[in-house]
Amino acid sequence: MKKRNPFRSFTLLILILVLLVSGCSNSRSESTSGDNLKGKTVKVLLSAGGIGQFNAWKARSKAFTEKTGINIEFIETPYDNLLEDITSDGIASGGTYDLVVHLDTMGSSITSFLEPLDEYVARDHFNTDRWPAPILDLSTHDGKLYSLPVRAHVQMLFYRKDIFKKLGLTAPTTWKELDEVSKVISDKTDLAGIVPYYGAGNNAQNLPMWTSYLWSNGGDIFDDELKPAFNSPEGIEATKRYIDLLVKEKVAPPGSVTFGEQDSRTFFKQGKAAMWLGWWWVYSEFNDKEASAKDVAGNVGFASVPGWEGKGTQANIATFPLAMMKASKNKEAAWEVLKWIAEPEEELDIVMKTVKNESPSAEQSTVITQTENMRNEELNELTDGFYNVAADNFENARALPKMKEWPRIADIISGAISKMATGEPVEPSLDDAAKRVERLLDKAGYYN
Amino acid sequence: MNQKLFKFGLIAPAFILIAATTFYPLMKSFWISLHDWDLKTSAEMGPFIGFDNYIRAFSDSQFWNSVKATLIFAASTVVLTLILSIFVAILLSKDKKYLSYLRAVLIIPFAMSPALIGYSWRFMLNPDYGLFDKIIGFLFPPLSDVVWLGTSTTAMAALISVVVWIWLPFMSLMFISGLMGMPSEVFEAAKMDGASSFKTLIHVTLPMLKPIILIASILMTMFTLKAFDPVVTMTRGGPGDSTEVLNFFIYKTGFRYFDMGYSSALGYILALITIVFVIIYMRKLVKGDDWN
Repeated sequence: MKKRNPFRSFTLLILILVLLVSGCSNSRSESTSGDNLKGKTVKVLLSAGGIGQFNAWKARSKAFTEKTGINIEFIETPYDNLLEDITSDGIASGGTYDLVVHLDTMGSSITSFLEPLDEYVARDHFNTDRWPAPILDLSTHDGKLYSLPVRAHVQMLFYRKDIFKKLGLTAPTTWKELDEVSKVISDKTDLAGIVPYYGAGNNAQNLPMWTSYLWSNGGDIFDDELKPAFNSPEGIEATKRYIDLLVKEKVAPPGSVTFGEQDSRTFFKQGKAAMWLGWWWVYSEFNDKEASAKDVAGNVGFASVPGWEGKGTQANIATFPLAMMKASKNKEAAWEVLKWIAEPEEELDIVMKTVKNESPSAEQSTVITQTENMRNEELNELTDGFYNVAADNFENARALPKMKEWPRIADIISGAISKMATGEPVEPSLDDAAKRVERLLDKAGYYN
Repeated sequence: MNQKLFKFGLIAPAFILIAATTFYPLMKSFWISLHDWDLKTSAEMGPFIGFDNYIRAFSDSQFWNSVKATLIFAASTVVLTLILSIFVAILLSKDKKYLSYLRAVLIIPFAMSPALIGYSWRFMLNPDYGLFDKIIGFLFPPLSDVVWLGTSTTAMAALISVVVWIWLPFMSLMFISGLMGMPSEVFEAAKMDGASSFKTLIHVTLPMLKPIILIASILMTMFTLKAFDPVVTMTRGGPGDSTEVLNFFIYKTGFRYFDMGYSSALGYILALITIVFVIIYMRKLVKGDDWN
């Protein structure tokens, strides 16, 4: 009988162990290798509406697939159904979607259906400092990062340069100047001075303009104890001023009482108003000959959101981040797609091609979320410093509260604003809304 | 025995299908209405709370606001639709060839999608470029500045008008078939007795139409109580919450606030309100052998 070589047996044992350990160890590290992700399909839920940035992702995804072998299927749903779709899939743990875009204020309501990204970020040394802190904060809930803020908006004031030039006006820097300028335009032209959007029921779209009045006057939605504070003297004064654009000054068109953001944007694009205050992404649309009236396209300028006299300015921000579903069956591939969409070069290239008019109209987007890109010299030269102004606003901007009850609170305040725009008195309407919000938060246990 | 089993066997597939698609969801939603289930915090149903969700509704000012809006909307819509559809039916129920074409054309608004109708009317009522707004302004200059969806009263009026416009053809056709099926001898006898057209309408036509009026009322009440599409597409419950009918409130509670227990309870309250209306109709309108 042949005697066994102990060294050989030991080496064989070690080899088997190594193979076993490497075979059973973290399947994630294995699956991160490009080969294993080839052929996987990542389903991305987007909101419908022909958004240029999303169209650019779709167009560029072919190159990504060629490079990585990962397929991307983009699925669109109307914005109003977005939350329902995410929630339905989340409850069912169906894995219908791997990545989902959503409005930041929806974030608190859906975190239980989302995959925290901190582990992926740490593992791949993914730099999240590329985004300004206020933007990144909207993707963070209870200290965990749930999404990447690949689409973000800051409020800006847009105005008709040709009309302002004709009347010898300059862009307003305070609300008082905005009232004065609006009055001159309304008196001397057929245009409305400004076109706000007071309508209720559009996912509370009438709130951001209101909060820019409220915050700039030193008011707030809640106090430190989360009690409603929007009916404070500052809140009442700010709300009156916001509503008076329509009710007292009559510089806003009568239809603005029913307008959602889209209605008012359309009104501005038709050339019927001289100013519009809202999210910055519309800048390219306003100046696009295919999207706006002949007189409007090429004649729209931008400025920071006006401020309260002697108190400063306060713009809003909103993000539309991309998150990974907890029930996703392709998490590693989804993470690769997320990283690709968040690449600074991709973001900058989409916008550069837009401002140089090198991309098709449907794929044009002016949305930049990353600080370095916003401060890019060439981009600012090409856009008369648009992104430097935006970057300043982003860094100082505020966002609506992040809390699970926010959709209900937003509806209460939004409904009150809509009513006040029909002529209901401001103070009692705000008091009533404040009482309802307090009751709601009390019931939810915020004051225990 | 075998024959009996065979019969049950034949019924079983339909019974199972109905049980799975109707009874089970009904029972499940009732069970949910007895629980505190906030979908934002958990995908699992919360603790059992008995009838607390139902009690909560009665102390909720939003609920009462939506009940008020629902009743105004439903009552106005049902009454207007019935009156106008009887009027249209009387005009179109003659046995003339050209009227048969008109009767066919009449169904067009009913054949359109309610959501599409709502969006179209919202567009047509736009104060700046709306076609209907321009026509009204041209015909009645004092009304040219009215923002139809801009005040509580006009928004509700616009909503009611549009829903009447949607249902008028269907109801008219119901009455037309009723009128055309009436025996001509009765009208001839009334004429020979010297009854005027108006008296014939009040004392002959309407009493004979009673069974159809009853069915039309029940159907219209159910349709208007569950109205959703026109509200979402035209007013979205606004201005403020003036047109927030109960069904829209239930949708918001369930699918915007994810308060599933409360939303289910509200759904059952709406079903109860509908049943109460149906019972009232039956008691007030069914007398003797009207059903026969």
